[in-house]
Amino acid sequence: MPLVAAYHRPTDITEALDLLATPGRIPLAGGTVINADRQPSSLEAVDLQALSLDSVSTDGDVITLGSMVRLDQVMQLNDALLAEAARRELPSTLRTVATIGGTIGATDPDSILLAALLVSGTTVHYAQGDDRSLADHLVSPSGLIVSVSLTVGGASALETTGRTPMDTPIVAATGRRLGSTVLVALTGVDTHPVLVNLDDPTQGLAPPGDFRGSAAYRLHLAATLSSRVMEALA
Amino acid sequence: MIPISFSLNGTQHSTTCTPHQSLREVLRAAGMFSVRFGSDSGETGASAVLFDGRLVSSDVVLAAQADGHSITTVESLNTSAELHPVQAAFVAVGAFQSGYSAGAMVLGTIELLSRNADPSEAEIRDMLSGILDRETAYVKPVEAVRRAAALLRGETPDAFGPLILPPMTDGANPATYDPNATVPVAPPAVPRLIPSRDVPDMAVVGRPEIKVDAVRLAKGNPAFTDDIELRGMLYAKVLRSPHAHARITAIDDAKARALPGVHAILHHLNTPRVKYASGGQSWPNPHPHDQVSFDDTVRHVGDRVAVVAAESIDIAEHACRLIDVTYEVLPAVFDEREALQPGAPILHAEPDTDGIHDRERNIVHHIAAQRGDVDAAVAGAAQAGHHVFTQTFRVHQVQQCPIEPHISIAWIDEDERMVIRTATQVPFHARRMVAPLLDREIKDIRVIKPRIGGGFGAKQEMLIEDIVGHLAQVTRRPVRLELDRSEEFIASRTRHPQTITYTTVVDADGVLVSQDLYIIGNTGPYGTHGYTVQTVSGLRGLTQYNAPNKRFVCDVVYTNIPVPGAYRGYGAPQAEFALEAHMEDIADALGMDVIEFKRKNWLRLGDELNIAPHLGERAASDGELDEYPRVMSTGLEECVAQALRDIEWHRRDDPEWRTPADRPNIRRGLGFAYCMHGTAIPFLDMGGCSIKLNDDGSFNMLIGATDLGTGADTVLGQIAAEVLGVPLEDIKVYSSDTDMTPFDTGAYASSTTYISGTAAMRAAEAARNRIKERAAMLLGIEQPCSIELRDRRAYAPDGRSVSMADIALDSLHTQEQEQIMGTASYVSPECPPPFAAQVIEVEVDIDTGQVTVVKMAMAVDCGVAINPVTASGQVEGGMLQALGYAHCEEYAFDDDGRMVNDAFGPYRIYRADEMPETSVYLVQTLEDSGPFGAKAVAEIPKDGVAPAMRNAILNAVGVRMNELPFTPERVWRAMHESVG
Repeated sequence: MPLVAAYHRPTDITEALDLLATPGRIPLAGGTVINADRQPSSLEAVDLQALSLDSVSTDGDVITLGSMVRLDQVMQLNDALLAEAARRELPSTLRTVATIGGTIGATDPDSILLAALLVSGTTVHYAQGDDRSLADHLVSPSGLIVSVSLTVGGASALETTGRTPMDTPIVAATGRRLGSTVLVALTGVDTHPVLVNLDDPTQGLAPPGDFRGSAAYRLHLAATLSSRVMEALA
Repeated sequence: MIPISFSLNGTQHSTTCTPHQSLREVLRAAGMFSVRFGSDSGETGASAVLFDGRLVSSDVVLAAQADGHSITTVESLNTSAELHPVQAAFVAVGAFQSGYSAGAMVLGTIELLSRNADPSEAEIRDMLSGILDRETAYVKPVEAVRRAAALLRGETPDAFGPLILPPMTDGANPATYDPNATVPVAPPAVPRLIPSRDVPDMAVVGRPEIKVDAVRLAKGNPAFTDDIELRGMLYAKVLRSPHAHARITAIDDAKARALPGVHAILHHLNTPRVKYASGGQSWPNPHPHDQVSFDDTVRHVGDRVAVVAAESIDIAEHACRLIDVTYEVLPAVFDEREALQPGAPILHAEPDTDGIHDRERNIVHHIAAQRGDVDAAVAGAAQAGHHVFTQTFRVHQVQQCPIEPHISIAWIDEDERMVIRTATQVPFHARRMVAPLLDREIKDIRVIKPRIGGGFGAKQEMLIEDIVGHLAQVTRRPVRLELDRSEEFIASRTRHPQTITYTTVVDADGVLVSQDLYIIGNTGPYGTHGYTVQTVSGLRGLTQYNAPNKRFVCDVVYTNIPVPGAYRGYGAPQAEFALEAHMEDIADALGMDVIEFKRKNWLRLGDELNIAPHLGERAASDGELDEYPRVMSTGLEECVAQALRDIEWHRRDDPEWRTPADRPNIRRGLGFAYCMHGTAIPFLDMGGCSIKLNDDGSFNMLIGATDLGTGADTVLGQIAAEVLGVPLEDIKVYSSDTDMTPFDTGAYASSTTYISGTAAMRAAEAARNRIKERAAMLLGIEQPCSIELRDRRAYAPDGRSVSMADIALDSLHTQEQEQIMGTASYVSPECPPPFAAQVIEVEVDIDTGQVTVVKMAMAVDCGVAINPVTASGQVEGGMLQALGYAHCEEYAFDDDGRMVNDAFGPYRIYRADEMPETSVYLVQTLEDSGPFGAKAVAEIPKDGVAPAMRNAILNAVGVRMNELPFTPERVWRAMHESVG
């Protein structure tokens, strides 16, 4: 556990926002990221569990998920891509804690679920009442997320390359086609998952390399896997 | 402190916690010992509980988050001595080895079955995906969940046991491969057993008995090192080096000492400098003794600098951060090939370390052994029309990854003796080795080994016992030290990286003329097991094929990587990867069928183990010996036949199968590896056993052998029960306590069943002989030897009998009273090799290099499997670890030698939901020198996966992967280089 100096459990959004206005306080969604951090940082946790942010509502193909909806709940949604992305995001004993809000807050560059949300046209709704696209949020994350809305259905595809079948992919490509609109996103090629240019999926990418995959190899995977996804959605 | 209240197993539990305290910590403080530590980040799942009915790793939940919720642990099921049906199902199929994560598995099953009475295998594996297991390969846990589902549906599953198969060979000659043969069908968890006509039917031995510790594991009872609470216990934390190589020029601990709650701080300025070698090996430990408890030089990132004992782990960690250490950073070297070069940094310049072979070149040991004349064979090859093949392989650094990290608790007892309760594989070695460091006599130290949550060699060290011992002496309080997961990676032990070069001469008929093996072994900054592991590499790498000329040369080299040590297989997986890859490529170059080529050269019954006596700590000189050990039992041909049928070997040559039309980016391949291992170290490994008869006809068996979860206690109990004519339940086994049990060298070198088992057999025989004499008195028989023990009774030839209980009561209470007991110890002059055939099916994505292992099968000749269920569990778990070695596990470092993947996830170990299909065949042979015909089984499954996988990749895409592991980019680049 990190050095959590204080724990708060606000009971309404206003109280949460007031608490979070103080520097050093961070929202605690599920806890799989923050609580797993062993670095000796001093922070105060503002637990969002009492804010009733765990609702799931559906309006046609549009689903709205409260930010405290857990990943095991996402697996139950009637959408193959989101269900698979949530399943692959974390193993059984962690996805029952991790939340949509926490996943977005972590901006993990390897997150398949974030990539799946990107290609589902996800909009992020903040406590302050404003909205942004998930793609914009990932570029400059800020604000207390209360819910996200996204569009499901259509055709989808997921291609991954990892050391083992359920490994966090070195690179993953995922895509969704809704009518004539096709979106494809990649993990493992930037500081967060990104939507790609369908005409040139590696355009502008400068992935960092690591022991699992060099920059050149990641670019190769980006092209290969994007191509497969687009072919599957064609 | 924060007041919290939650429902705990149906009862409201109110307590307080700190803001950063985890739910796991609070639950353990509440006595829920089934909730266990595997890592702080929750991936091991050992701490999983039901949180409002969901399976949740309690590591990553703040205790404060649980306020107002409902928590269920496996203790909720323990309302009586009986097992819950789910617990019973796990016990019935042998799904627990160490059982460290038993609570999580049971709770996960209950949760899954509460919402799905008949889950698919994929759903079961998904549930298990959050509970890492290094022992079972998840094979038997999956079967346990299936069985539990059936039980809860009201069905009555069949008793779990092996599938008996007829042999395919006559035991000596190869079978003719039949591509139309039907592969036996049975759940993967069921061992396929091929009996030998030479082995008689027995009452207890050879039966799938329930493990003697199964109930305590299933219930999550307090059985492990950490499952005790001692009044006034202090918590230790080690300050570790951030540098790969540095001299400590100053330590200022004043601020740390001033911190309230700090009781002791130790480092090189206040701790005696006593030289030792940490490898848990027999006396005298091989030189050099190049370690001290705290040194003024650090030699790898994670090396010890200081340790703090404080009233809480938080205080201890805080104090570590307050210790001001000044380092003079020195140049470092990580690659064993570079460490040998002139000008490389010298790791051990200190004058008080003796026995380094060549200090200037970092060569700790130089090992050499030869039979025949290898140089002459190579020199004469061209003239003789022989072929010469040379290949170099590189194998990497991996970790044992026991889910239970190293943990030790030490205290001074009422007699002023030091007691160390510790997760060790070598309690007797640990006691002997720690004594001089603590300036105590051996008799003043007691080492207790409780249940262990896996070891695999990592705990074959005296790794942290000296630290808690020092602190307990200084503070006179109990002291607990547990490594966290990062420390387990950087500061415990690993497998040795090696650079391996084979030069082999083959005649025109494909017969080996000579094999020359040169290894540069990387022992990191300390010698520890460096000599012996590399010796075993030479032994294994040069024994399994016949050749009149053999040579092993090895340089064991110091570097600045985290310390390698013992790891299950102990040098064999490295050498056998290289050997079986090398032999595959030679067959390919000669245009020979690979199995025929290997068969032409592999060891057969009666063949000499011709280099074995010349290698090892007590090796003979290079001169010819009068006699060499020989292979006295082998089921290899049967193993090969069973394995090839299982994998449908003919597909290897079927282009339609290898290139599936509907998946244009996929190529399929099959690979084979022949494996041979050893059974204990002759003239060195020793085990002791003592057995006494109780009033009711039961027996207490005291053994020094160390059950790591392997089922050793069960297997040794079965051996004794068979001799004494009683069921296993009448043998109460107590093991591994240096005050209570006989000596044993410990759990390593595939020795326990063979060595300790023979000791158990002989101790039981001694007791049996006296029981027969007492029975003869009671029955009025003159010849005790005519009496037979079975079914808890002693039978006279005329059919009259007396019960074991009556014999016990008579001997203890009635006439000529005596304690019937037997004591024996055993050291073997032999090392009978188990044999095996490993086959693997892979799919390779030619666009990405990703390799997917579809299936693994291993057929093992381990003599008589004393318990086929636990034996098959050993093979399954061994293959899992070997698969990680081949495929995905590796240490990664930055340029300064800092490990960048010191956590599960980045360091990838296989999960339940991604395991390939596995099957295990136990080919029975009768090894006369073993107890009831047994040989070893625990380590040979580590030997064949890497080469078989490598050879399958070769079959699939034609590239020769001579470096481990086979990660996607490595394979992709090899394919590109091949094309280029």
